[in-house]
Amino acid sequence: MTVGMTVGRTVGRTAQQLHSWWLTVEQRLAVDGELTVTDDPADPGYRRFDLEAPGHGLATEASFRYEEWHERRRSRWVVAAYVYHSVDRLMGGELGYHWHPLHRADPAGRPVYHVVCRPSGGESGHYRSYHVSQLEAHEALYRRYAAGERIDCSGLHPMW
Amino acid sequence: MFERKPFYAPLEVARITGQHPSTILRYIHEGRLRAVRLSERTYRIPHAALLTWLEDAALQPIHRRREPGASAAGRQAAQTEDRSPVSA
Repeated sequence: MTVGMTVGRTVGRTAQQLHSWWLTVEQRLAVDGELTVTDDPADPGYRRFDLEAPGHGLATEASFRYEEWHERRRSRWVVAAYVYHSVDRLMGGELGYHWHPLHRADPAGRPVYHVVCRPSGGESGHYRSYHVSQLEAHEALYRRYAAGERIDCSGLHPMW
Repeated sequence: MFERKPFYAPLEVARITGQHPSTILRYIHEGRLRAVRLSERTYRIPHAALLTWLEDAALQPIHRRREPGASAAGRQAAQTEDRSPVSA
């Protein structure tokens, strides 16, 4: 997964590969809950995946929102930003891996890798992070939900 | 029918499907059944994954057991298939 995403980030994907990637994500997420996929006819490089878990008639316990923005560079599509975010509907709290401009961290407006974390009953904060693929992020976020672990931001390093 | 809940242990899936627990674990290890690995030996199967898996199994061509003139061996194979939620 990491390799696939690195390819997408540094080399990019053809239109066919990008389509294939989104199909892979869709198939992968669909077995984890109730999935809604949203595209933007005006922006073929954008996809949004909303996953409600457990779904299928059971009360929602966790929500996952994954957005990816790809830019076309020459003949390839390259990941330009993402938001991979989860909300714990049972115990409260949010946790997500983000890569988008964050003015406070980089006034030049370049995308910044960061984690957005809000513990149950606490304040939201921005923390240092690194590149993750959508499927890697999902495995980490979904595993926490499956394990019933409370969102804990204490081990993270604040950005400011 | 079975109790609907967010996650199932492999043993519960074995009970639901009438399969041996080791068969369920094999499906998980082969990637044919989605499971979240919580620790080295602990897996949880999401509700949606179980439903998808059971639906896929229901689409298998088990109707062959009702075909007229089917051989005894064919009927036996179809009945075996009927018990299996996942085709080989």
